[in-house]
Order: sequence, then C-alpha cells, then structure tokens
Amino acid sequence: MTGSARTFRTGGIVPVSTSTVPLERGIWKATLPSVANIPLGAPGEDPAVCLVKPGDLVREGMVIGAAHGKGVPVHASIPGKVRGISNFKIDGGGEMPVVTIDLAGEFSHHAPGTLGGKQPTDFPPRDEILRLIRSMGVTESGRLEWNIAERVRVWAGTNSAKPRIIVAAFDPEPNLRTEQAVFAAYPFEIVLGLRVLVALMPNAQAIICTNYKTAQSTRAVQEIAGETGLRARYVRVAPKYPQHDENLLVETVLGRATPVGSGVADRGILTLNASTLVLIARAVIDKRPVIERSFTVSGSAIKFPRVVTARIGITVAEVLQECGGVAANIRKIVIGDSFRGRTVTDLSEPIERTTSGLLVLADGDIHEAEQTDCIQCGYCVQSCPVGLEPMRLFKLLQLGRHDQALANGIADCTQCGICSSVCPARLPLTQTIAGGMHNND
Amino acid sequence: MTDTGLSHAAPPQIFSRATVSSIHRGIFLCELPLAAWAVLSYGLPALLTISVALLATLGTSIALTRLAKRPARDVFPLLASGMTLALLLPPSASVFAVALGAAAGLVAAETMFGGRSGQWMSAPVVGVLLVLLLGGAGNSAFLGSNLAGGAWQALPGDSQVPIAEQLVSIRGGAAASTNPAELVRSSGLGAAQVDQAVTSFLNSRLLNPAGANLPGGYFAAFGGLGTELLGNSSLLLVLLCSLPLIERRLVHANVSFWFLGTYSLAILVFAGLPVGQGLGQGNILFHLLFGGPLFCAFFVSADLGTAPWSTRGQIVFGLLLGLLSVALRLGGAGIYAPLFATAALQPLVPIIRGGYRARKAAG
Repeated sequence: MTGSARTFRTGGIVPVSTSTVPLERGIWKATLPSVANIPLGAPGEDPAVCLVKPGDLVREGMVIGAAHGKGVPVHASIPGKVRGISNFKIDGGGEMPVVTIDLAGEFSHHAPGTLGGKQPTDFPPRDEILRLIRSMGVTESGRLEWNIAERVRVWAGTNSAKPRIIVAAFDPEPNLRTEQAVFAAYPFEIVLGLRVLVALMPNAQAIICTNYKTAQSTRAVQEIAGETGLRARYVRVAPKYPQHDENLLVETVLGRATPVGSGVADRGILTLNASTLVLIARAVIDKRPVIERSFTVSGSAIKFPRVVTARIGITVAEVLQECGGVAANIRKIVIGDSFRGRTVTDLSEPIERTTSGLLVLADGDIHEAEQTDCIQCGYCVQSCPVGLEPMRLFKLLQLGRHDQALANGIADCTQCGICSSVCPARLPLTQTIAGGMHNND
Repeated sequence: MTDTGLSHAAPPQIFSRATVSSIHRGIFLCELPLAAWAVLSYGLPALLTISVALLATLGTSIALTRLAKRPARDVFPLLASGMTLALLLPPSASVFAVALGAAAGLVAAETMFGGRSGQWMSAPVVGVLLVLLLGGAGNSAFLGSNLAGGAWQALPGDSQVPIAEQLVSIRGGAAASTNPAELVRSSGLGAAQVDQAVTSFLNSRLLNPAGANLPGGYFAAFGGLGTELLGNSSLLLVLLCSLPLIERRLVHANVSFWFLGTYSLAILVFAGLPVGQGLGQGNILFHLLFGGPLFCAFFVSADLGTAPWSTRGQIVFGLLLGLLSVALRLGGAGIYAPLFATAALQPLVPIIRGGYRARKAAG
C-alpha cells in the first residue's frame, strides 16, 4: 500500500468522533440473551414471511422467516420456544415484525465453526455459492443497498473483462469502528470470503480499501492472501464521509465517475464491507447462517465504547449493559451512523441484521441549535458529494415547485445527510429533499 | 413504549459546531482587534464611528423586528454587520451619515435584494455606499472625492521619498489630523523611527543585495499606520485576523485569494501607465498597502452570504473583483475601488452561482 490517501473529488466532510473506541481490545462478545426479539425485516427491507407460531420449538440457526420480495430468509439467533409474533413500533413511524423466542435447548453454532483452520482449495459450484449467500441471510450493514446476495448475483452474471471486488475495510464515519475491528479480527475469513467471490469470477481482482489505522491488520491479510495466491491490491482512503457510498468508492478507487445512485454491480464492480466478506465466508464454507452481528457502541455517554458481537434480537438495553451502562447526561441513542441513523427511545428495540452501530450521545455531542433563516453560506453546496444545491432544492420544495426540483437534480440525492449536518441555520434540508423525492416517485 | 426521556429526532443526529450565531460571532471577534487598533490609532473619532455603526444597526433591527412582529434576531449577525460597516469608513466620517448608512443598509438588506434568505448585497456594503453618497466619509486624498488631480497617482511608489512623508504632504500637513499615528510620524519619533530602522535593516541585509529596495513608510503602513479606513489601519493585523476566518471557513477564502492575486497581477501590468511608466511596471506592494484591498478581500468580498458557492464561481468572482478594482482604482476611485467593485459585482452573484454550479458530470 503506497501513496497518499485517496478520496472522491466533490464535496464530503471529515466528521468528528465523539469518543474513542479502543480497537486493540478486539471485539467484545456479548452475553447470550435469554429472550431474542428477532426482526423479520429491518426498516426498508421486504419483511420475511413468518414460518413459526407461538409455542413452536426452534433450533439455533433454523429458518423462521421465508424470503419475500427482495428480502432474505431470517434465522433463529437462539434456540428456544416461540413466545409470540408481534409488530414492534419504530420511533418516527413504521413497524417491524418480530418473532420473540425464549431461550431453551442446545446451541449448535455457538462453538467456533470449521473456519480458522487451513484455507480450502475447492469451493462449491457457482449456483450453490449464490444460493448459500442468499439462503444464509447474508446482508450488509449500514448501506442503502443492503441486499448483497442480489448484488453478487448481478455481478457474477456480467461478462466484464476486468471484474473487481472493492472491499471497504473502513467505516463510514469515525464514530463507528466495526469494519476496522472485523478486518483486524478475522483476516482468515476476509481472504476466504474474497476467494469465494473470486471462485464466481476467476479473473476478478480484489481491491481492499483501508484507512491509516488498519496498517497492522492489512499486513495479516496480505500474508494470508499471499499464501493462497489471491490477487489483491490495497488502497488507503481518506477519512471522509460518505466515502462508503458505492459510487464514491468506485470513483475513489478506480477514478471512474459512475451515474449517481446507479448500481455498479452490472458493470462488473462489486463493493462490499469487510464484515460482509466474513459473513459470506461463514455462509458458503461453514454453512453458518447470519445469527449475530458485529457493531460499534460508541458516543461520549457510554461507559465502555467498544465493538460488540451480539446475537440478532438482543435488545438495546442489554447491549448498553454489556458496555458498562450509560452516563447521566445521555441525550440520544442512535441506531446506525450519525448521518443516516435513526433515534431509539424504546430500549427494548432489538438489534437487526443491518445494524452497524449504536451511538450513545450526550448533550455536548449533538450541537443542536434553533432553526433560523438561511444565510446562503453555501456550506451545503460545498459539502454535497453529488454536487447538488440542497438549499435551492429546499426552497423549491417549500414553494411546491417539484418540477423545478427535478430539473435541479433532486432525484440524484443519496440522502447522505451532510447538508443538514453542516447547515448552520439547522434547516431540515435532507428531510425535506427526501420528502420531495418520495412525492416525485 | 417505555418513556426513557431520550430525545427522538430525524437524521442527521450530530450537527457541525457552526451555527449562524457562531459564524457571525467568529467574524465579529476577528474584527475586534482591528477595531481596537483603529481606536488606538485614530482615537475618539474611530470609537465614535464604530459605536454609532453598532448602535444604529442594533436599534434598526429592534425596530424592524417590532414593526414586522417577528422574533428577535440573534445579536451577533448584527454586531458583525455593524462592525464591518464601521471598519469600511474613515475616522472622519460624519456620525449622522454613519447612523443613517447603518440603518438604511440593514433595512435594504433585510427587505430588498432577496431579504434575509436571499441576500445578494450585504448590509455593510449598502450602508457604506449610502454614507459615501451623503458625503459623510469626509474628503481626503485617499477617499477618491478629490482624486480628480490624481493625488495617489502622484505617488510614484518606488520613490525614495518615504511614503509616510508623501501621505502627510498630500493630506496638507499632519497638524490638521486627529490621527495620533500621523502626529507621531510627522514628529519623527516612535513609529517613524521604527519604520526607518526596520526599512534600513531590511534594505541593507536582505533587499539591496538582492537588487531590491523598500521605500520608507511601507513597513509602517504594513505594521500599523495603514491607509485611513479603520479596517485597514494595520494590514499586518488584517492578515492575522483573517487567518481564523479562513481556518474556520467563516469566509469563502477562494474569493479572497483570487481577488488579491488578480489585483496584484493587474496592478503589475497596468498601474505603471498613469505615472508615465510602461506596461508591467506597476508597484504591487504600494497598491496592496495603500489601495485598500486587504480588508475588503477578507472581510467584505468573501462574505459567506454574498459570494458564489462553487469553487469555479468563486474563482470567476475573485478574478472579476480584482480586475474591476484595478480599473476603478486607475480610474480615480482610490482606496474605495475594491469596495465599489464588490458593490458592483455582488448583484451578479446569483448569475455566477447559476452559471458555475458544483454539479458533477455523471456517466
């Protein structure tokens, strides 16, 4: 890995961290929950069709929800007895169907799997790999395009002369450290996951994007990759948000601008998180379904910020306890990152398959202020990674001029949240533009 | 749902530290040292000009708020606006004209030119123009009104006669001035001696061996005896105070740099012509120190609310500002040339914003 850190050209910001997550302590394994509220579909997903009913006994890893629409199957994260199926009300509107399971019976996936030994030389056939990625419920965290199985299928179906796999071994913002921790903790699985994907596209080149903090982990991956003959390139990226977004990552790595908001998988480019590679390796080689998720718990109001691996369905309250509890000046708990994440006020909300972080924020972290008139400072324009003029769109939408908003590129907004974040007048730019996009649909 | 006392909010969940109030507080704080130096240099007239500008701005805002039955405005945008206006004026400005200019500038900026959220001309610029129209800025060699004789043009810039002495002679003698700095300078004590000592040191040790020469008075002008706009009293201080503005992104610094760069280049190319020298013989240092562009470049033209947003737009705006400033200065506008150029170009900013968007080419 040589040269200076790369990044995309237009807009973006360098966010500030609210706490330090010590990566050297590795990933904290959370205590198994006595009750799991397993979501059948995270917000934005097509919920799975429930296959169990109250009173049913389920095994660990058993399919309890069948894939529906663009969704993926849902597995029981703990063994036990189904207590009930209900709808969990999400803050800010919407509902999430959940299956509640009381812990009972034996664990089959809790013990370490077969991974960790030697790298295999043979891989399942192509169709079997694609089936396993989907049927084991592999999903990406913290991305708009969470459905990795579908993206892998599209990517593997292209006849690109130079297929590429771009791995984001860095986190979208400094409050999260999940991808870095996973990259450091599971180099074997990272390489294995890449080899599984290369088995789908034999001439594919792997490009692993890291930041300056992951140099040590990069060496471990490099060594294992070298032993297996995996062709991989390493690129250092700048800590800029939203570096994680697919089109911007491709621009950063390949220097190639792609139409904003469009997928790149059909162009022979697959982008995914390091943690997703680990899930793919486990799903394909170990036949292990996604029953747990690694995520960051950070923010100045949490006692012990750390990266945690916990079973899906564990509650926010239990996770907070795992991290030593919260400080008295706690103001806000956020699921996801600080730009796109949503607030949680009900601490019984379960952790989902796509959860990337839990931010426990104190008053001083948030920098709330009273909404004022726009002063035309242009911060939103200069920060927009798509090159839009959010304040112009905001005004047009307030005046009800949707056609002009469309002409000004509203459809290209990726709702990264930067404009609202940097607005000194605290105008709800992202929310208004998102509403306008919805109206235009 | 359990009531946890936690707040529910739509994303983003963390905002940047900058608020409208903090931006203007930052600008105001950066202007305070300039104001203090101006008061130190020019005494009571400077204090009076600054106080009147601030009070008139605050008073007008209160009156407007009550008339329109709107919630009260944050005080820092008003303080920053009033202070900028004051620093664009000479100490000899008429108090009545300053009060009227500050009030009218605020009314105009709030009710015309797109209002609070659509400003395309800043209140201080409008205010100063009104003061000048009322003739309230006094009449001196550097204010343009008696420049018909080309007073500044008589200054060769590279003459061996110290600039300080030339200034005194142009103004008809420092004795008439209330400027303590000029009194010190004309008395041959203090600043004048420092200027002489530093100038000789620089010339003998650095510049003369390199084939260059720094005329007397330049160092004094740079350090604290600058041209007679309050904001330009110390150009060193202007530069120092602009650093936090740039670092904290309280101004669009691209505009400042392109403005000053273009201004310097155009001066080099054209400014020799009016004094009988050829193309490319202009004295950049003289026109930077005595042309009034520095305060204007950092505190007025690069104002967040009235400058273009995209980098390309800012470059175009800075280029136009530099060229127009030089054209106006060579045409006789003197020290107010950068301000006139800003006033002339600010209304064009919406067009520049529209023409030079940051939009990325896709595909």
